[in-house]
Amino acid sequence: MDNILEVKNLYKLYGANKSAALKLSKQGMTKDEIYRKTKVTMALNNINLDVKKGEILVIIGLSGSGKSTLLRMFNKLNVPSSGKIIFQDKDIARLNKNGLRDFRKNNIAMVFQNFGLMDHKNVLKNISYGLEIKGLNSKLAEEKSLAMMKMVGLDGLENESINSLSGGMKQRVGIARGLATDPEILLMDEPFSALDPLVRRDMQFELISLQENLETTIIFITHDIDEAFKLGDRVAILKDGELIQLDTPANISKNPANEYVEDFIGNADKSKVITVRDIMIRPNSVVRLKDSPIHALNIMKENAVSSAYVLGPKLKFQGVITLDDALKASRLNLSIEEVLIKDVALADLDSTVHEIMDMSVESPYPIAVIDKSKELKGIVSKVHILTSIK
Amino acid sequence: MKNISKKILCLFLILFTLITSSTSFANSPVKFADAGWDSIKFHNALCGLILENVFDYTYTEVPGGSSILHEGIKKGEIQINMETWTDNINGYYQDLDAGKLVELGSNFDDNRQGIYVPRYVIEGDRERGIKALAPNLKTVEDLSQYSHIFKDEDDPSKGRLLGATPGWDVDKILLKKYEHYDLDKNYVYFRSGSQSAHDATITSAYEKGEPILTYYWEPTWLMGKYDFVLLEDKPYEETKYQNGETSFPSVNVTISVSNDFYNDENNKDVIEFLKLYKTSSKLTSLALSHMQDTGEDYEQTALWFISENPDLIKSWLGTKNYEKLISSLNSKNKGSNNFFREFPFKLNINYDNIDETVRDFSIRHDKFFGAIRNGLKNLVSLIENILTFIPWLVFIILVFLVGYKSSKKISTGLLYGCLLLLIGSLGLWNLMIETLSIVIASVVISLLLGFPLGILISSNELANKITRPILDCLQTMPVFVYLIPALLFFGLGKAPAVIATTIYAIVPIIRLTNHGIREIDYEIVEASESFGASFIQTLINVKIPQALPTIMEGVNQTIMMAMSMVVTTSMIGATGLGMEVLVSVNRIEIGRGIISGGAVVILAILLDRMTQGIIRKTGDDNNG
Repeated sequence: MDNILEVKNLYKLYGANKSAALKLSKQGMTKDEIYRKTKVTMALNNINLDVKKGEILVIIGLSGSGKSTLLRMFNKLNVPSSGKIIFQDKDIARLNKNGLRDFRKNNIAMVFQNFGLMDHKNVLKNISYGLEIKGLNSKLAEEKSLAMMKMVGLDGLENESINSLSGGMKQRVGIARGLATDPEILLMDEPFSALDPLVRRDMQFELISLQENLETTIIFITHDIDEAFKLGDRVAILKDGELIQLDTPANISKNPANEYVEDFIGNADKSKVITVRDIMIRPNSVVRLKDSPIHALNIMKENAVSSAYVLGPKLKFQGVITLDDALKASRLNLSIEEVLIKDVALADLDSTVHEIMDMSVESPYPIAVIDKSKELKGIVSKVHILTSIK
Repeated sequence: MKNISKKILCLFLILFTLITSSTSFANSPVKFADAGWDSIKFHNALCGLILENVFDYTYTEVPGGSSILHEGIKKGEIQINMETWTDNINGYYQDLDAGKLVELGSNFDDNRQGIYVPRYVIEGDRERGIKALAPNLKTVEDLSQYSHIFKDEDDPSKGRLLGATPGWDVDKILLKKYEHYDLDKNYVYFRSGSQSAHDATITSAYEKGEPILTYYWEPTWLMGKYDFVLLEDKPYEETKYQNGETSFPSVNVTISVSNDFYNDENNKDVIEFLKLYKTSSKLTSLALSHMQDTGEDYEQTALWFISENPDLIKSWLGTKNYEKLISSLNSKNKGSNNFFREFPFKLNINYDNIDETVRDFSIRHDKFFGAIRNGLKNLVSLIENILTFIPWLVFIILVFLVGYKSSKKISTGLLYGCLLLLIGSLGLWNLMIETLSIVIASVVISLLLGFPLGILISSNELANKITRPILDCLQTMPVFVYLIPALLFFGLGKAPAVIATTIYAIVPIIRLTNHGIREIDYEIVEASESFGASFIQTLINVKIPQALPTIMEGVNQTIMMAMSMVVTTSMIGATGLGMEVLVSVNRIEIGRGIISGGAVVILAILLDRMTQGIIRKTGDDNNG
């Protein structure tokens, strides 16, 4: 994948004697030593990272770790003390006024923690704000904004005032406003932390599906490790202004860079990281749609189970046949298809264990795991789920 | 650290108790009336000095308008009035006959008053290069030919006669004289509103060498300092004088005391002394010009006067008391000051220099200030014309509609309309229009200047740091201080009134614009910037609309501050409701004061409620 942003040797310092502090840092002195010597605080200390086109990069850290500072440098709301942020061969940190405005108008947008909405404008006007600044005529801006509203589930609310919306709705407006200008990069500064947990889960889900359709690169800030692992294609862990680890959630779980990361993800719910692919088993009790019920009964008997998974042509998953139904079918001379149970719990290969947990409790038989072409890949039983998160 | 400061505090407390306990509190001090002009303050100092050193009294002065001080004497709250201008005080003789106060004889009665012009108007002044504009001007009657010389600033087709301070008795007689000589045809009778404004106008005209026509009187430092000619009038006749047909008599300026003071046995000696106290206009003028020349204060001038006129003082006190006075004064001069109880250092600041500098500045840049004056005058008359053009009924209906629309209640609209109807039916409609036009002009200018300034300081730390102390100054500086420079630079009337009002009323709009913008949720501003909005775009689309409720609060405050200046600016000749209030205060006319004051209140409340209503509406629009 191509890099859309490259961050090189990025520093942010607060204090009077910045150049001296920078020099000391390059000599390898630690943050504390530098502070003692120069009274300069290093908010960001030599950050290097790439952002890949189309990914969701989550930056996570405790408050004061510098994650917001870093994010705000991508659109120069904060100005780096030193270092480069390369976008399309240009250093954002060194853009002049007009260059920066053009970059902000066309390439990057931001969603704010407390929404940053203008309550003197209605929903539609808020969403079209970026387009108006971009110079689009108001009719086009309105059309585009209405389309955006539909996409984020706000249709019909265009004339509502901002203050009449719930928190979740407000952030939808924020996201729609951010996406309206078709930015290549969307910065999200703890966008869901002001929302209550149920709404947050919905919003996370919607964000993922939105992003899959739009292929916008998203840089997402959070302090919630679950959220990070759920949303992030890759997760960057910041501590005290330094980048500790940058990797996929699974890799971080498997190989935490140090004890800090281990502690950090220790809080994480493993069920949200481990996917079905990791725990499923190959099903033995499988029959074809065109097989006879007797054959199905035999397969079940061989494997000592009370159900069998039914596949159609090209191994496409069709449903489940139970022992009782197979008996009934052979007695009444029916085909498997006539007694097939089609309403069966299904899981995706990439679903997390957490996502299928409720399903598995309700389902009378192990959950079928399928891929995009509906091919049966495996099954997951309650036992597997329990052992995986132990 | 804490201990040391505690010890110091203890030390101070002990010192304080020692000092206060060692002070013997004398009887409560004698209160002299201080009507504000120099000669009365000089006589207070002279008499007070004698009271202190001979009769062991202490004294203070109570400042106020002459009518108010007269009331004070009647009530016994003030004990001595050294200069009771008998003819000029409304109802003085009735009060005297009714025994409400006691007159102890004349202080001086050789004073003059009447209509004056600078000598250079008649004779020219070669040194200053001033041509004689009216070489044949001798009498009041001649004035009708010369109206073009004494041009009125507000109405250049007429001349301007500067009348007396509104409320003085002589004001009525002057008005009759003005009509008697048919001066009303081509002159405007202009009241300066207050003594200091009057003086400043004369001073600045004289320094600029401009012609001026004014009522004035002697003894005063002003007549001592500048060369003025009293225009001749017909010889004084008691009956005709009241109608303004003859010259003014010399007013008998008496010393009056309150009944309580007179009847107190302990004051017997003082009463005897006051009965003998007599100076003359000439002696007083001499003392005043000595003071003006040397820059001494009143008490120092009084000391000088005592040393210059030993025989006169002796005739008041008798030899024995005179010697007591001299020895007491000498011992005081020799005796060292108590270092702790009297401030040992004094910076000698020459106020005259400041006065002169300001005056010179105003003269040198007269053209510039003249242009501003004209602009302001035109603005006020434009607004006034518009307001007068609207028929009163339409006006009331408009106010009703605004009241109704902003509160959504018919009753509120009706109330507003009725209040306005009340002002009209009290006969104050035209005065209200005049007041309103000054207020609106000031508010418009305040908003035009204050709003951008507020925006500037909200986005620029340096500008904010510079502006803040200035705003603090503007807000806490006593408003009267603005009047004098406004007067010097812009003359009398509506233009300086607008300036003074603007200076006072501009502060809230600056402050609240700044505050409103700074209070905005900064995330919203950043959101706007993050889409590439420029400073101006963010300002117009986000900052101003978001800060609008606070800014409107500032507009409301500015209007209210402007309203509160209405009475004050009448002291520099701004006509309207304020002038009515001022006149009634000067004349102690309670009824007139309540009516005109009530009209000011009604106007203020209407303006406040209507702007508040509009603010609420903008607030609702923002949220709904």
